[in-house]
Amino acid sequence: MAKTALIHAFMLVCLCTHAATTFWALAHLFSRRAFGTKVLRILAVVGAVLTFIFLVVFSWWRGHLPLTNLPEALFLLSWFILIPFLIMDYKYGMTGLAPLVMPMVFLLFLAASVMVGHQEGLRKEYYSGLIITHIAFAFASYACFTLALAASLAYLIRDHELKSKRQFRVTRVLPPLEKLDFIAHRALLVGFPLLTVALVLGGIGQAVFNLLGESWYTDPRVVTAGITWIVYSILIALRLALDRRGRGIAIMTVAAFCIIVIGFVVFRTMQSGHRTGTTPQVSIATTATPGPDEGAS
Amino acid sequence: MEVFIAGINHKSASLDVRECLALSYEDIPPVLHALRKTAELEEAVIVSTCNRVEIYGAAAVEPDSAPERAQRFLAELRGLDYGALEPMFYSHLGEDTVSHLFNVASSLDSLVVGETQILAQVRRSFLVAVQEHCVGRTLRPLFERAFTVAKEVHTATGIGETRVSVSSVAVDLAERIFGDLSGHTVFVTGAGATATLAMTHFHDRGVRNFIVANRTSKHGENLAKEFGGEAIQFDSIAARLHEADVLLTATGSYKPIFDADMLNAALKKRRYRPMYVLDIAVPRDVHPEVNRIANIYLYDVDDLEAVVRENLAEREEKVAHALDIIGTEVGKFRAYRRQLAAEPVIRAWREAAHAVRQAEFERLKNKLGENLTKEQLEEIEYATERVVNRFLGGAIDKLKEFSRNGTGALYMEAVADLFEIEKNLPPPGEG
Repeated sequence: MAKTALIHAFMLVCLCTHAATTFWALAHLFSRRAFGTKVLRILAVVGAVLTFIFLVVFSWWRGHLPLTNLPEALFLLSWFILIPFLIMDYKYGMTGLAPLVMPMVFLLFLAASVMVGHQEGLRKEYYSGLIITHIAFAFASYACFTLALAASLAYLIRDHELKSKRQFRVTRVLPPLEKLDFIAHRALLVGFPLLTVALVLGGIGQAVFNLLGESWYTDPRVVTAGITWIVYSILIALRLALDRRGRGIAIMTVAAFCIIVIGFVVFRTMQSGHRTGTTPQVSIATTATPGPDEGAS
Repeated sequence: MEVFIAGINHKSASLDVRECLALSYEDIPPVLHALRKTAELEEAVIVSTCNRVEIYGAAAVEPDSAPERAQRFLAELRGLDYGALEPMFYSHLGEDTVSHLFNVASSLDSLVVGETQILAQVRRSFLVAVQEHCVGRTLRPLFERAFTVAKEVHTATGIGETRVSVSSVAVDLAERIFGDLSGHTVFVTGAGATATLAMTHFHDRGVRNFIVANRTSKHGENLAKEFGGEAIQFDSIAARLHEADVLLTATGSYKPIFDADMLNAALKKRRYRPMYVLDIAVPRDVHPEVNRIANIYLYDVDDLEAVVRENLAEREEKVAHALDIIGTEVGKFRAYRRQLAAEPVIRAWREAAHAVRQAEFERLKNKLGENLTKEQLEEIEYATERVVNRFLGGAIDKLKEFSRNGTGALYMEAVADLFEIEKNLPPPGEG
C-alpha cells in the first residue's frame, strides 16, 4: 500500500507541475516580463524530468513498460510530447508554442491520471518486445504529429493576424511564420518514418501472433493508422516534391491530426471489435498484483 | 537639503538653443565644479543630451533660489543673455524633482516615448558626477532609485516595444514573418526619400541583401551603393522578383507595377516561401488583389498607419501604467527621505541614552570594580547596553514609521524637548 501511495503522490506532483506550467504558459501570453520565459522553461524541464522519473518508477512497480493500456500510454505520450518540444525550444527558441503544447500535455496527463486503475491491460501476447516496440514507435510519431499540430495552429493564427492586418496582443509571444513552418515540417519529417516503422512492426506482429483475428483490416485502429499514414504521406509529398508550404499545408496538418483523434474516438467506441484484456490488470487503487518488493510494505 | 532641477528640453527650447547649451561628457567635470562654487550647491549632476540640458542639484543655502542660480550659471557659461533664455527654462523643487527625474529616466519625457537610450545617458551623467565627488547622500539615492524605477517601468509596461512610426512598424511586421532579418533579401523599387528611410530601418535590423530597381538607373545605383546592395535594370524586375523576401516598393508610378499574376509567378519560383510586400507608394504600386494570394502579406500605407494608430492607443495605456508606477515610487521615495530626516534626532537620542548608561556603568565600576572580575564587568556592561537598546528600540521604530507617514515632525520635536536633544544637528557624514 505504501508503494501505491507513493505512485499516487508522484502522479499528483507531476500533474501539479504540468498544471503550473500550463497556467504559466497561458499567463505568459499576457506578460511582458523576461522572467516569464525563463520560469516557463524551468517548469517545463522540471515537468519532463518528474514525468520521466514517474514513468520509471511506474514501470518498475508494474514490471513492464507503461504501454499496455490507454492510461499508461497517455502518460507516456504526454512525456513524448514534452521532449521534442524542449529540444526544439532549446535549438530554435520555441517558447512561444508553450501556450498550445503545455495544455495538451496537461490534459493528456490528467486524463491518464483519472483513468489509471480502471483499465484492462493487454493480452499476454502483447507483452512481446515486438508489439511493445510497435506501440512505442506509434506513440513517438503521435508526439511529433502533436507538435506539428501546435506549430500549424500557431501558424494559422499568425497568418490570420497578418492577413487581416490586425494585431492581437496575445500573439506577440508566437514565433515568426517561417520558424513555425520549419518546426511543423521538421516534426512531420521525424514523425512520418516513426509511424511507418510502427505500422511495419504492427504488421509483423499481426502475422506472428494474429492478435486481431482474420478480419484485422476492418479493425478501427488499423484503419485509422492506415488513413493517418496516407494523409501524412500526402503532406510530406506535397512539401518535398511540390514545395508546397504555408497556410494550405498548415490546414492539412491540423486536419490530419483531427483524423487521428476521430480514429481514436472511433476505436474507443468500437472497442469490442478490437479485444483487449483477458489478463486481469493491475489497478493502482487495489494493487492486485504486487510489485517486486510489495511484501515488504 | 532640498533637491531641485533646472533646465531646458525639446519641449521648451528650439534645437538652436539646445545646441548652444549642450555639454559633452568631457566638458562636464570642470563645469560641475564651477557650478557648485558659483551657484552654491552641495551636490550637482548635469544631464546633457540632444534633447535636454538639465542640472539636478542639492542646495543648503537659500534652496528656493537655487534653480535660478543654476540657470544663470548655464546661460553665463555660454555667454547668453539669461533674460532671453528665462522663458525656456523650467525648474522644480523637492518632490517634483523626484517625479521629473523618474519620468526622464523612464523615457516618459523623451521625444520618442519609451526609447531606452536616455536611461544610459542619465546613468553616464550620474557616474561623471560621482567621479567628480559632486554627489552625496541627497542625489545618490535619488538617482539610484531613478534607475531602479526606470527598469521597473520598462519591464512592467513594455513601453519600449511599441512602435509608433510607419517605417518601424513595417520592419516589425517583417520580423513577425521571418524572425531574424539578417540573411533575408529586400527588393526595392523606387529610390526616393521614402524608400531610403525604409531601407535604413531594414538595414538597422540586420538586412544586408538589397536589390534596387529604379527607372532612373543612376539613382538606383547610388542607393544600392549606399546600402551595399545590387542595382538592377527596371525591366528585369520580373526575372529577379522571386529573390525578394521583402518587396519594398515606393515609385511614383500612376499605375500598379505589380499584379497578382506577377507575384504568383514569383511565389511559385521561390517555392511558396512567404513574401512580405510593402507598398508605401501613393498611388499604390501593387494591385490590392495580391493580398488574396496565400503566403503573400501585402501592406500599404493605410494598413501601416492603422497599425501605428493601434500602437499609439496602446502606448497611451502603457504611459498611464508607467505613471502609476512612478507615482507609487515617488511616494516610497518621499517616505524614505522623511525617515532620513529623522535620523539625526534618532542618533542623538540614542547617544544621549548611551551617555547616561556609560556614566552609570562607570560609577558602578568605581564602586564595585575591585570585587568584580573582568568577565563580570563585561557582562554588566553588556546588560546595560541591552536594557537601553530594548527600551529605545520600539520607540525608535515608531518614530521612523511616523516619519515615513509624514507625521514624524511633532514626535521628533517632542523627543528633542523631552530629552534635551539639540535639534539642529549637523547631517551625518556622506556615505
